[in-house]
Amino acid sequence: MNKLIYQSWWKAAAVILLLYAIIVGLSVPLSPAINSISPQSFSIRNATGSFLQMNVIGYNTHFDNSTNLKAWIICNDEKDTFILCGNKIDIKSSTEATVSFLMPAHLPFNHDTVLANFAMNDTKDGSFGLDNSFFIYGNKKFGTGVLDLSCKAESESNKTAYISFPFREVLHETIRNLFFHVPMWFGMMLLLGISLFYSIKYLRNMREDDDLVAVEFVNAGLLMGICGIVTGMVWAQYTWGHWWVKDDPKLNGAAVVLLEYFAYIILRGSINDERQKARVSAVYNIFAAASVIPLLFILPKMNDSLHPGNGGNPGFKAYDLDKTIRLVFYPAVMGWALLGFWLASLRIRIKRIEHKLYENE
Amino acid sequence: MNKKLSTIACQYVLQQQVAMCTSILEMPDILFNCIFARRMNFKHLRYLLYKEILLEYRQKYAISGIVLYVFATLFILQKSLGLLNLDVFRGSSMAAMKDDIYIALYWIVVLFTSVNAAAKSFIHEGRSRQLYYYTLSSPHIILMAKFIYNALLLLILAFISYWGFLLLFGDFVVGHNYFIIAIILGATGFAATFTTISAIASRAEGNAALMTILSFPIIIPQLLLLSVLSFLKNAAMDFPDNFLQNMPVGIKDSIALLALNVIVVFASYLLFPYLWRE
Repeated sequence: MNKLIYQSWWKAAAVILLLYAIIVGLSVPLSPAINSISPQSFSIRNATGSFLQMNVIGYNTHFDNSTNLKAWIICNDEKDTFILCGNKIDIKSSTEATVSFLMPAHLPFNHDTVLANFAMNDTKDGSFGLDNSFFIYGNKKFGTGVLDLSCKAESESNKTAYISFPFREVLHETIRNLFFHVPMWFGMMLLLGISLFYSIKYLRNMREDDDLVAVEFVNAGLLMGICGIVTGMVWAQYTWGHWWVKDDPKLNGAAVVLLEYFAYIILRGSINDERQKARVSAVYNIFAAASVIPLLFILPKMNDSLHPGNGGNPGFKAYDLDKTIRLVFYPAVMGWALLGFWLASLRIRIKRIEHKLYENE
Repeated sequence: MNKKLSTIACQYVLQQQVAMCTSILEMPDILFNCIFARRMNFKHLRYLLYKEILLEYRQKYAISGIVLYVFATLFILQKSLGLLNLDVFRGSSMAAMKDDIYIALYWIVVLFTSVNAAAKSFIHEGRSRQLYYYTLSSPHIILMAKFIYNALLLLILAFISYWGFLLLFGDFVVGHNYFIIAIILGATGFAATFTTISAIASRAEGNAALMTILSFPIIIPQLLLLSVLSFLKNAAMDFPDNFLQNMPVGIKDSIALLALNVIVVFASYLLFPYLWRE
């Protein structure tokens, strides 16, 4: 590790990884989606066999450059699926279009009301749609009229022709925060873990240098933690509607870890004798870690959390399916961790020089 | 000759193993010492505990001050809650909220009383007197005596506040069984944490503000578990078929709390030898 501090290849790697993560993470567009459709319902009883003109407002779509744009209303039952094909698509701009459907006289379901999905496909934009967005009222099972069962929702490709991040409800553009918030927490955990290791090492060998390393890793870890909590709060405000959520075990853990290491810094400040300071703060570091680890690793398992992967929420595994997120996320994790390591190593070197100067005086 | 060689080899292997054990993990060594009482002298422990209680008995102002603190806080709470008139919730759908407020206040009172009571365990003894104790006995025993004494003291204080709350606010608890378990586990956990933190704070020009700053982040996990436990209704103790899988929340939580207490006691036991030295 002492050798590593004075080497520069991993610092270059940190810069490259972070630049890559920030530039790619912020510039790759989200995959297309549909913001709204109007009307959102249709009554069969009132308008038998009539046309439905549906206005579609898209997000990040390229209607005007589309090559093979199709639209469907997909009605699902427990067993059956019935699909209505869009007959004609009038394109107004890149995000606005009007789709006309020839509505049937009845649907092949038992229910009076059918909740349907709206979906679109294009060779360039891939598949996108709005689930459970369209109601069809007044259905009778044995209605008159011939059902056109020939329509099928077939597409050449579900993916976009260009590189894109998945569009998620609620998250929208904030999905990019995944490359900042999560790696910052990982980096903090790593730095504080190294600090704990050096505190134990200090108590075993009582070498002054180990204490110095432990403190500087705590400082760097705290900086990472503060950045992580700020990015997390901004994210929470956009997705959950509050800056801070009560009773979320991960938020509790974050708050406790930050408080604990602030207390560590304050404790160091209040002792004058250098050796005493090093020894007592190492003891506090280990003691605090021992009593807080259950909070971080056991309590989140016992309680539900709003975070992905907890309490029935989908994990980020679902977002990794297209692999573009993963291609940015892992470099971001490594980049932020290395940046934290770099910060700590710079401070360690400064402190070592200060010690040497002090000894020479 | 052959026999002698083999015994030497055996000793060598044993030495190697012991060296490995102590270097990789000191725990087995210390656990061994703890159980087989090489360092842990129970006679010393008994006398030290007796000394703590005797000191407390002779300086009655300390414990009576803490009890007075509890009752003064309770009185202020009753007066300030009287302004809020929480009784309007009684019998309505908001009744649960009333319990929430009282239970939260109960734990706040116990927390602050415990900090004040446990803070003096190391801070208020002079350096020279502590040094004298360390010449008489080992630091482990001194720590354990302080811990057991503090646990007893905090248990008494927690039950006094429980009684005071019942007296002033009526039956504020949802389920008394779990609440009493919570009080017992909470008081011992507070005692373990605050004793160690008091030892740490006594090294640092020992001021009381530092005691709260250092201990509150560490106490939050325990408080979270305690708050879950103290809001549970009394449940009949029936054992489901596969008990480990469908453990009732109360029992699961009690076990977690107990495990946390054991971790805290064990950590302070391991770390105290590094702390007491000047």
